[in-house]
Formats: sequence, structure tokens, C-alpha cells
Amino acid sequence: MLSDIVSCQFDLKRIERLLKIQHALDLHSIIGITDTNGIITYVNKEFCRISKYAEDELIGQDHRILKSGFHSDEFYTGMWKTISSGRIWRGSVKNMAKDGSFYWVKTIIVPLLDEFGKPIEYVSIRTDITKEKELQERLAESTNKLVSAERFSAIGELSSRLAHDLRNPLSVIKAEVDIFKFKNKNSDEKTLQSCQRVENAVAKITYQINTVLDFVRTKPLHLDKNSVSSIIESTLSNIVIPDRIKIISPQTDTVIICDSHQLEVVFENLITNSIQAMENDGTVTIRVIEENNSVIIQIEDTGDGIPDEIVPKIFEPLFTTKHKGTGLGLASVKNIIEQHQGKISLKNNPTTFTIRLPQQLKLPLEEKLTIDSIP
Amino acid sequence: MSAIVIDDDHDMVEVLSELLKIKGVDVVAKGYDGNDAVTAYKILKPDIVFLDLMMDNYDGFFALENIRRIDPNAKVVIITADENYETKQKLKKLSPTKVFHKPLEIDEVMNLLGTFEDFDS
Repeated sequence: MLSDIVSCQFDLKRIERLLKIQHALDLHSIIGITDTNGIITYVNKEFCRISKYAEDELIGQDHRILKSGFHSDEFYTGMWKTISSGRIWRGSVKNMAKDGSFYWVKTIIVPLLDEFGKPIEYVSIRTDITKEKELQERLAESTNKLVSAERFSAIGELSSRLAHDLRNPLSVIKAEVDIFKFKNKNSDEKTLQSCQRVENAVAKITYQINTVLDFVRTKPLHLDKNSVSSIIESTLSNIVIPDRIKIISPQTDTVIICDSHQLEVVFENLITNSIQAMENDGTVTIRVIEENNSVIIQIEDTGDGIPDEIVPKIFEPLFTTKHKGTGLGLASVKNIIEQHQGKISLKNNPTTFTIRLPQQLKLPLEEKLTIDSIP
Repeated sequence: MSAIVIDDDHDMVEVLSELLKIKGVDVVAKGYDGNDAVTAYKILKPDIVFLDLMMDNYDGFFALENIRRIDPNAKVVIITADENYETKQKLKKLSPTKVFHKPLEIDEVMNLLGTFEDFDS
């Protein structure tokens, strides 16, 4: 009798202790139990919190309710094979919560076995590793970016070598034409036209080399305080504006720290694009808006807009819809804006490019040094 | 007005020399690297040096630096196909008289020479 009471008390103490341990476990881990068919029979609070389902929405459901679609069928069959044969399964699983968001859990599934070694149910203990996975993904992404940046700088170096080597023979061709013209001052019209065509061809190649180089070579910024509208005015004075194009200049102005020459390249590209898109007939409206510590510049035109399917591609290098385009205009624009730590976006109806630039641009120290060294 | 023409591209040297001759410039020497430039300058003291930058062995920077040592007021015109930012920075320190880019606009060169003649007279 006495021994029974003692053992009973002992059991109670053990159970009490086990409950405390479970409580501790519940605070950290996502715990669930399913039967041998994968039907959920138990979930703890953490399970509900991370999956965003209520307890009664989960109990009685197939565990597949949480499937994210990320893993292959083989992944799940492998898991089932392991646990149904009574062995422990370990792995990381991407699941989908009730609201469609995803979460990653580091998982151990322990089969509870009957006296014959057959599983009766499966206890899973999971730890949320979503943040770690996100970090990993971001790391992989920035490594990729780094690799492509390196590749890009190699292309840049190669291109400037190529440009150098092309300009030399071009120079010879051009000078030879000059000499020919001097020596044959009284040439007939036809010969003069031939000379002109050679000169045009040389000029075209030169132009092409320079645009490609402008793009592949990221020039350090020459920062200065500038009035935005004066940069726009200076850009407009360099563009040939067809008669039926109306340009509405910004009504407001603000001062910004930027590289004015580079921003002129940006505006020139966007405004000439607009003019071309409107087939030389329409209105370009330019707005300057000050907001918090940013300057927003909008260039809007009355053209037909950019087809939805190409919108995601317009800033990609070498993408063009024009016969004579290099496909580098908007890519250069984006480069320059990003160098200014700004953003550029496009919206249709009406076609509007929106540039957002920080008003007080601060550059990392090393870049500042090169800026200071420029008189 | 006397000049020397230095470029590692032989065709370029020939064609530029011919062009300058047509324009009335007396090309007194042709050279193909920075060392040629310095040697020719020492011996001939031309009014003007037309100098390429990127050349094997002794480049244009070497020539410019050494000609400036001989005569700080020497007229050295750089004609280069290189438009790198680093090149520009490096060149700035050596203060060339003028920098032209290839392909060369001969009229620009002649305009420059015009200003020299005014200066001399």
C-alpha cells in the first residue's frame, strides 16, 4: 500500500516535471503530431502562430495543407519512407501559412512505435529558420550581383581597349579623306559626295563607340550644387525640338547635389525618347517636386505609352525596339540615377518616368576623394 | 612652324604628317614611341610636338614628362584614342598644351596652331 502511494506520488512528480519540460519546449518549438495517415492530431501554440491557422482549423486536417509547392514529390516520398519504416527524419522544409506567406522550418520527425516497432503516430518538432533562409538567399543574391559586377568591369576594360584600337584606324581613314579633299579641291560633285559618305560612316562608328563606352564605363560623379530646372533648361537647349512638339518646363525649382552633366544625359535620353514615341507630335511635361529630403522629377508625354509586356525590360542593357538604337539609353539612365542613389520608375497612361533623387547626396569616402581631387 | 609627330601607329604618323604639311607645318621628324619623342625634341627643338599616349615601351606620359623637363613651356599636343577617366587624371598632372581625341578634327588642330602663331608674333 505504502509503496503504491510512494510510486504514485513519484509518477505524479514525474508527470509534473514532464509537463514543465513540455512547457519549455512549447515556448521554443513548433510541435505537431500526426497519425500514420498524416492527419494532424495535435498542434501547439507555436505551430498555430507560425502557420497562422487556429488549432481547430488544423486538427483533423491532412498535414499537406501546409505544402508550399517548393519541394519535389520525391522530397515528400523520401520523408514518408523514412518515418513509416520507423526511422527519424531530419530536414528543412518550406511551408505555406494560411495567408499564403512562406516559412522555413528545421524539422525532426520522430515516429512513436508500438511494441512491434510499427509507427503509431509521428511527432514533429520544428524550429523557425525563415530569417536565416532569407539571409542565405540575400547573401546568394549579393554574391551573384558581385559576380556580374566583376564580369561587367571586365567587359568595360575590354570595351575601352577595343574602342582605343578602333579609334586609331578611324583616325587614319578620316585624315586620309581630309588629305584627299585638299588635293582634289576641284573634284566633281559625285566624288565630294563619296567623301562625305566616308566621313559620315566614320562619324557614325565614332558615335557608336562613344555611346557604348559611356554605358560600360561608370564615371565617378562630379558633385556640385545645382538648380534642377537649370539642368533641364540646358538639356533642352541641346535637343532639336520638332515644331509640333510642345515642352512644358517645370514651374518649380529646387537645389540638389548632383553631377549636372550626368543628369543632362538622363534628361536628354528621356526627353528624346518621349519626342520619338510621340512621333514628333505631342506634349512633354516636366515636373519638379520637392518631398521630404528627396527631389522628384517627372517626365510625362502624350504618346501611346510602352506596351506592358516590355515594361520590365526597358532598363535592361541592349534591349531596344528602335532600328538604330543601341539599347543602352535607358540602361545608362538607370545607372546614372542609381549612382546618385536615386530610383527611376515608369508608369503608363500617361507615360510618365519618375525619378526620385536624394537632395543631399552623400558618397562613400573613397569616391569623395576622387571628387575632391577634381579642381 | 616646325613639328614632330609621334605615334606607334605608322599609318597615323604618315597621314598626320602629310596633313600637317598640306596645312603648312614643317614636319621635321617622325617617331614611334616616347623615347623617339624625347630624342627628337632634344636635337630638333621643334615648335610643337604631336604626341600619342598609348605606346609600347616608352609611352606618351614618359615623353611629355621628359620634354617638360627640358623646356617647361614646350608645346606638346596630345592626340589620343584613350578617353579613360584615369588617363585624363594622369594627364592633367602633366599639363599638356592641348588634348585632342581620335578621330582627329584637323580644323581644330589648325585653330590651335593659329593661336600659337598669334602668340609668337
